[in-house]
Amino acid sequence: MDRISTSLSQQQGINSILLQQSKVNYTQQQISLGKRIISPSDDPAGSVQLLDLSQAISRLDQFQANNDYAKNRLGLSESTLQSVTSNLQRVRELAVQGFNDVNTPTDKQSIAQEMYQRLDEILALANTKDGNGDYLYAGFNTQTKPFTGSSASGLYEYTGDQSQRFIEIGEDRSLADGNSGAEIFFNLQDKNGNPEDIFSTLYALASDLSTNKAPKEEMGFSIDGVLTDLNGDTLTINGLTYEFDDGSGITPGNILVDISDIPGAPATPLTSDEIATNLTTAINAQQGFGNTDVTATVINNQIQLLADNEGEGALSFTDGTTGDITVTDKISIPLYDHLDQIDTALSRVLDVRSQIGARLNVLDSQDETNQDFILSLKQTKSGIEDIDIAEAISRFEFQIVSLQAAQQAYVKVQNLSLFNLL
Amino acid sequence: MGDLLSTGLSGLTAFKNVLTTTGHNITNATTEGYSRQRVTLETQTPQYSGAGFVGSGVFTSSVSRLYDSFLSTEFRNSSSAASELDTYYEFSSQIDSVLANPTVGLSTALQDFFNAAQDVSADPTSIPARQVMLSEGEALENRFSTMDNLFDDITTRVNNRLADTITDINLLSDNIASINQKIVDVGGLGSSPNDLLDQRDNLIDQLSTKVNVNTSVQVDGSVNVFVGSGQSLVLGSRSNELGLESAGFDASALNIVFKEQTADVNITRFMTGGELGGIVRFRDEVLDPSISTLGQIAVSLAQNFNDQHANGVDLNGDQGLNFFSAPSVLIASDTGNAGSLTVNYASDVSGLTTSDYVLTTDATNANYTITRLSDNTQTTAVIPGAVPGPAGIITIDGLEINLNATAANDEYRIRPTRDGASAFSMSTSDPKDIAIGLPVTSTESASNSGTAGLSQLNVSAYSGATLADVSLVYNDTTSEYDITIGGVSSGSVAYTASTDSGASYNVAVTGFGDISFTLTGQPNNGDSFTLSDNAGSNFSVGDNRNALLLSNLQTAQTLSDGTASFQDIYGQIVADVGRKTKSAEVNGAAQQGFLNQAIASKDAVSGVNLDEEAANLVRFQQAYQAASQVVMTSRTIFDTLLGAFR
Repeated sequence: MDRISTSLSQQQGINSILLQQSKVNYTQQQISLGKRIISPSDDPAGSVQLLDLSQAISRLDQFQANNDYAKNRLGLSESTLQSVTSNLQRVRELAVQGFNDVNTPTDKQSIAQEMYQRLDEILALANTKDGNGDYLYAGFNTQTKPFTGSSASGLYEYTGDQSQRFIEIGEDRSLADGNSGAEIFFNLQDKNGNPEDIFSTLYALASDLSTNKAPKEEMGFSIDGVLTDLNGDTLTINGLTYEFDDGSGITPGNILVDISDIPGAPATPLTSDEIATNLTTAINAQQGFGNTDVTATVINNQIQLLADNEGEGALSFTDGTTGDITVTDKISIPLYDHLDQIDTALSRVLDVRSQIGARLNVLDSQDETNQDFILSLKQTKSGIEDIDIAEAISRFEFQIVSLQAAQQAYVKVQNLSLFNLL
Repeated sequence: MGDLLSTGLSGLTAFKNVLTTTGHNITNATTEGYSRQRVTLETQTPQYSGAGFVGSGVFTSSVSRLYDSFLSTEFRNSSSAASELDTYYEFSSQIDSVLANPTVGLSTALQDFFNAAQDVSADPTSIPARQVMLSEGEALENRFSTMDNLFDDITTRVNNRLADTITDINLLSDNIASINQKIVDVGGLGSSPNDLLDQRDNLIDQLSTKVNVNTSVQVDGSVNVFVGSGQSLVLGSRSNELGLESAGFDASALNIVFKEQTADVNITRFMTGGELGGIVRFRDEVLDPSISTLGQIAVSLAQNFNDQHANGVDLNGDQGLNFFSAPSVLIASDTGNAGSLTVNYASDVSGLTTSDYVLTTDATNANYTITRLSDNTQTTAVIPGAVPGPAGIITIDGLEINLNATAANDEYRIRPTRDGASAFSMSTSDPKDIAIGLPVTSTESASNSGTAGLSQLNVSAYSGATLADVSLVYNDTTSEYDITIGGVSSGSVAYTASTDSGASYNVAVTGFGDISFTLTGQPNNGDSFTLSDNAGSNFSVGDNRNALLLSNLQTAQTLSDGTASFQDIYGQIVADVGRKTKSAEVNGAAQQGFLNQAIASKDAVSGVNLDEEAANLVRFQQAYQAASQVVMTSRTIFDTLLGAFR
């Protein structure tokens, strides 16, 4: 038989009350904090995981902030370059329009004036600042105006550098938040490998226009009369003779330019546009036979033949017209050099814009990835850290009941004494 | 008749003793350390009559205490172990609850600081963003010092507790010695002095909760008490004292010494069990490693950040200065040293450990011995000479130790990380001084016709000097980039696009530093790149490259020989303290169970049960009344006799 000393039985009763109390207190703390882990000793491995998770989440949050920043900057760059594109396109239109012979030198000068305006606008766009006051297209040299010069002097200079700023948008994932001005506007090359920059190109173009320069690789001719009149007329270009024919047959050796009516339909004369199209087709079919790639366009009832690219051979017109075709001596200017350069610039700008578009796409997908990642990390973190409230409450209730039971048992047992009965 | 009277009287005397003892038991039911007592009654020697032996009553042969020395030892061992774990838990839970606390712990401050560096990288010219980075750096400094203060507080509390405990131990041993004396004094009476024995046992019980002790009972009844590795705390009626002594290398590191007349003996490492054992173990296992680990993080962060910062260029175009104050190694020189020692952190601090080191020189100052105290790894070697050089400098565990000024028989204690956290501070206060650019930029020639690219430009060992233009021109025939530095031809790097595209190259520029870069694509003959200075007046303020490199340090594995990041190490200490606290708690609970069992077993023998005593009271009261009836009967008989003669 176990002998239980009175003080021990009392002490044990109190101990069990204290034990229950500390359990209740701990659960109460867990519930009020909503946390399963109150100090690392509750779950050492879990606590370290929590530290790692919260660092990972904090980094991802930062990546998201960087992502937003890059998005803003790239978005600004995109809209700026969009304006640059439309300005360049306008200049191209102006060039094509301006070099038309029907323009008087005065007309040309006023068109050149608009070009200068456009040039200044493009220059201003190239000197765009972002929301933080940094120049967008200056490389690292963001506090110095990257492009200097004006349409007054015609001397343009780039003072930025060729650097690109990278920003971290994910673990081991960084992305350029812009392109240097050198890449977009300055370090261009024409197809012969000669360096060019957008501003000088446009300046030269406008200057040529305003000074009414001489032609090189362009000819224009007018057509007099209607379809039937043109039949049998010839035109010699680069030594090849082209003969307009409505279906009655051509002189052997000549090259056919079909101006026949649609069979079976009521006789309708071809329009000048249709004639021009057919002429283009005929000439371009002779590629490689000493001819060049041309486009024929109709401007003010006159057909202009334009060699598409410089250096592929000039258009030489020998005195070989017959019939109603009159070659106009009106001289045009070296438009094609310029147009080609504008096209190079346009394609560079478009190229950069597509890069920016791609980066914005990357940012969007990285944004989603990061968000998914943050969500899943937070879930993991919550799984480790947060308390299951339903479980905790029921545990709490049970512990309260146990505490009450221990207290009641203590009082009951302590009332039992033989001395009470003596 | 006289026999009957004396028989009755013997009963009265005996039962009075029993009742008194029962009363003693009842009144001492709650006395700490009291063992219930029992009266042993024996029959008196009978008188011989012709008819045989006639009984002559009862007498009290002894009053003894119910006591089992085995159970008592069991109880002391349990209570010593339980009190060790309790004390250990009490202290380590204080650190435990702080480490992972987001408002006090280091983790969030580190994250915020590096996030601020990222913000600067996104907007390098923004003064507000730079200001935030400085503020977060200060917050980090505060966090380190808050934690360091906490550890200081705990160190103070540990030391106070050590002092209190030792005072208690000395008092207890003094009392035990004086009770020993009393016991020896009354020993001549031949009876066991129960209450004195209880008192002494109780004092030894109390002593056991302070420190683990061994006892041995002597023939004269005194008890000798031994502590540590056999130091005699109590020898008969004489007691010895324990004391505290500062370790020479650190005034706040206290050793426990056994005071002897000749010299005090350091017995710290023998202290097991009880509060003393718990405190010493907590200090060795939790407190000191936590301080050193925090210091390790602080030193490594400051060193690595400063190194990278010095490779950068600030907003004024100047080389980056120390971002954090340069940490210094704590050295304690022995008082008898004739020489001196200089220790710096090596350029690569990834080998840094949390341990202290002891370095000694031999009698001729030709050899040195360095001992890493954490694992007692000892290295003995000759102090290096000028050949192969450098003279007198050894590198060990991320430390560069300069032995040029040591003398013979010197002893030094090197504490590389102890001070790290408390000394951690910001050294930059002007936001413009944050160096987040790199001193080199590359320019691709406008006339390059190939697809070649040069990227990932980086600089190390930057001297702050201006870079003369470095140009790389591709030579188609040799498949090499010819390098000229400042117009002077300086070798070449082989590059074949099909195999080398994306490879990294390094060009060392004397007087400037090492430049590394990655080459890509297919260059045509004559294609060229120019690496030019990006500091001073040439500096481009939008450069954020160093900010990226600095913020990469957050997850870079710069510690534990390149296997762990700051956060990893911090996580290790959190887990380590957590695990130790947890195990102290769990083991403490288990030990408490053993202790309760030991108390129950001991109390089952020695404890007073009031119901039992009440029953005894009733029983012996009746016996006493019966004995008095015997006396009464004797008197009646005597009266009857007297009446017969009247």
